[in-house]
Amino acid sequence: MSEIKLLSSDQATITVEKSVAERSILIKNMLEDVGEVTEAIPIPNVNENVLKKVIEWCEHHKGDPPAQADDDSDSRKKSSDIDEWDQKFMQVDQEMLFEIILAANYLDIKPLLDVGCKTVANMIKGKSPEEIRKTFNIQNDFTPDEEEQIRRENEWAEESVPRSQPLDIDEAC
Amino acid sequence: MLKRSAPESQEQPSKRRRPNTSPHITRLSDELLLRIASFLHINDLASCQSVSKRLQRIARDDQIWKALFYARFVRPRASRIPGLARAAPSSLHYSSRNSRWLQDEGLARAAGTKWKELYRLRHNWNRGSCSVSQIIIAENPPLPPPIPPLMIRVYEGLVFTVDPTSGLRIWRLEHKGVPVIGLDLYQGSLEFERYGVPTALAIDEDSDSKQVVNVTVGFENGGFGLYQLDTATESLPKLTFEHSYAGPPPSAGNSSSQRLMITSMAFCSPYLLTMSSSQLLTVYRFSRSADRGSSSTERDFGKDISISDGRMMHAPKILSSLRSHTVWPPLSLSLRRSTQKSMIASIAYAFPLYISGWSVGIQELRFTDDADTVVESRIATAVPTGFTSFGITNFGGSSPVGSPAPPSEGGGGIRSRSKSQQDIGNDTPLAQPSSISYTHPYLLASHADNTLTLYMVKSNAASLSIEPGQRLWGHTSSVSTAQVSGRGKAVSLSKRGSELRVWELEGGVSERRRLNASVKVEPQVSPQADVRSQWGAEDTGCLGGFDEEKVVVLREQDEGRRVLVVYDFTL
Repeated sequence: MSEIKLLSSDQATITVEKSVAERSILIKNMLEDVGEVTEAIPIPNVNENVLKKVIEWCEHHKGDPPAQADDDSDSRKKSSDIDEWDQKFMQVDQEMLFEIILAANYLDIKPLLDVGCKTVANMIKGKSPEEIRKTFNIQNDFTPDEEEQIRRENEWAEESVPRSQPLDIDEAC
Repeated sequence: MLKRSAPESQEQPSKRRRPNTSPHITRLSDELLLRIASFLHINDLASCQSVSKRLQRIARDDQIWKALFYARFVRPRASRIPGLARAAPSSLHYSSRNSRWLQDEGLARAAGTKWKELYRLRHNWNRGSCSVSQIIIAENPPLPPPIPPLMIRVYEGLVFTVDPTSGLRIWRLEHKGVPVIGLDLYQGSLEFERYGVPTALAIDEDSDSKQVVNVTVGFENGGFGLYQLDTATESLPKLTFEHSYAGPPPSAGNSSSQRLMITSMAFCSPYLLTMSSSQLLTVYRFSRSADRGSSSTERDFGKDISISDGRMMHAPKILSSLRSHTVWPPLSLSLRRSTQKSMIASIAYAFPLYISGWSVGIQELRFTDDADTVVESRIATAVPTGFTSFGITNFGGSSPVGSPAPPSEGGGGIRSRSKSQQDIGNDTPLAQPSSISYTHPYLLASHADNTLTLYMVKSNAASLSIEPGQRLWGHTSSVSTAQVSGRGKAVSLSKRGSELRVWELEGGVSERRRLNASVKVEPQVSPQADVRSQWGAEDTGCLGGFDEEKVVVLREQDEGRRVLVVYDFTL
């Protein structure tokens, strides 16, 4: 079983099984282009902590079927269905969560990216604008008038039909 | 494995200590934020828009709304359409070939589609929420009773009305209440004495060019006139409306003029279909104007009717004239192109059954652009479900009751038998339908017993057939009119006009969806609304028509007051 070395942005060398590292399309393509490598592959955008976390995810998911090419397959649809292990895995602070998303994006690991994005989406769900601002420490850059206008524009969407029953009209006759 | 505490990096731990520095979420690119937003529901997207300017931009993004639109409105439709359901579902995203025909007519033409607005529009249709406004079109009785009928059609945001006193008028819905443009019907070669009052109105459905709308009006004495509306100039007062053709003039001295009255028309240039009160169906074709004036521009190329230089058109050729003895009103005429070169004229009608109840039938006449006669004619009826289910149970056997001949038992026996089958409640309507609307493949009949019946018409090269009807419930009072569009969207109106329902009938309705295939339209009435906007007990309503955004109802009050009630789903 071949192993390769990765070099994090903070110059830590991590040894990882090749098949695990190849969950990253970036690394996979790189290995295909270069062939056999003995020295560590630099991953300049990801620090050791995050890289270890990402590798942990890849190890757990190494047996998964390869990611579907189709970006919009229904598996992406429901944000609530993150599997239990992934949910636990994502119980990290916000800094790490966004680092993982950025790393997954950079390393091109779509399923991990989706888990990350779904986690963030779940943090937004059901919250008021003010709660969302608090959750993510976002500055409100609207004037009260602007905010009121936006609220009125979007009133129609507020009590929406759940997406699970898309077309059936929710009216009892 | 969580090594959160490892302080290798210099800057990141310090960030945590000072929460006022830029939040972590802002480190994500727009692309990543959009990816997150793609997992949100519309109510959360609404909240996000109020959070900050950046999130507002993200949550309004067209790609997000396009995906939501497809997920909610397009893919479920696709799964209901036979044939397409078998296609791999993943192929049904935004591939242009599929979306072209899956999209509504209104969508296809819009290059810069505002997906969020579109989503909102469809959302409102599904929930029956809309605003309502009124256009008063006649305040006092212009003529002594009986007040002559007013014909009404809706086309691309325009409402066309015709009546003998005010002539042909057009109302533009986005300019609420502004009387738009009127045209005296009896000018040029049309004389009131000879033509009588207008009795039918049809809009050209062949609208390749959005700039010109052809309109035809049929008259009491059998003549018709053709009018052309030029919308090229867009701005309101500049709409021009020209009288372009009159004819054929009713033969003078014909005593039986009443029997020539045009009761219904369909127009898809260059073909015109008329039905008279004596059930005479006539198909006309206007000539290709090879000698078109030199003023014609490129956009007119290929257009069969072109009078861009304001000249009269040539008289049309009568391709076929058929008299029916079995067709009963109500009926629905339609014209549609089946292929580039052939046109199908169809008449959907009601007819009484031997024992009891009514059914519907359809006749199709096919024409080609290079032949001067009917190429093909065929007919089909919706065999009442009582017979059908009977026939199916005995399928393959030689039982005489399986044949279309009426069984020896009474009507009640047939109905109870059909109830014992699966399709309880699909029994034959007992009374003559109050209206019939046919837009291939949907044939929708409305009934006084608070129901509608949907028949699916199958028409292909080999055969024409009508599937057994499905009764649709939802109304709580007598239904006076129902109209269905080619995408299976239908609107129905109760006799008293106050109960308006919207139906999603695409691909037919399954047993599960049948009971709630519709939603009642409940307009949001502003508190300062006119008291007279409430429907009175003596008012009657007539469905004028609908388009992608609006439903127009003609409300007739006592003393001849006429009002267009516009239900606007863009809210």
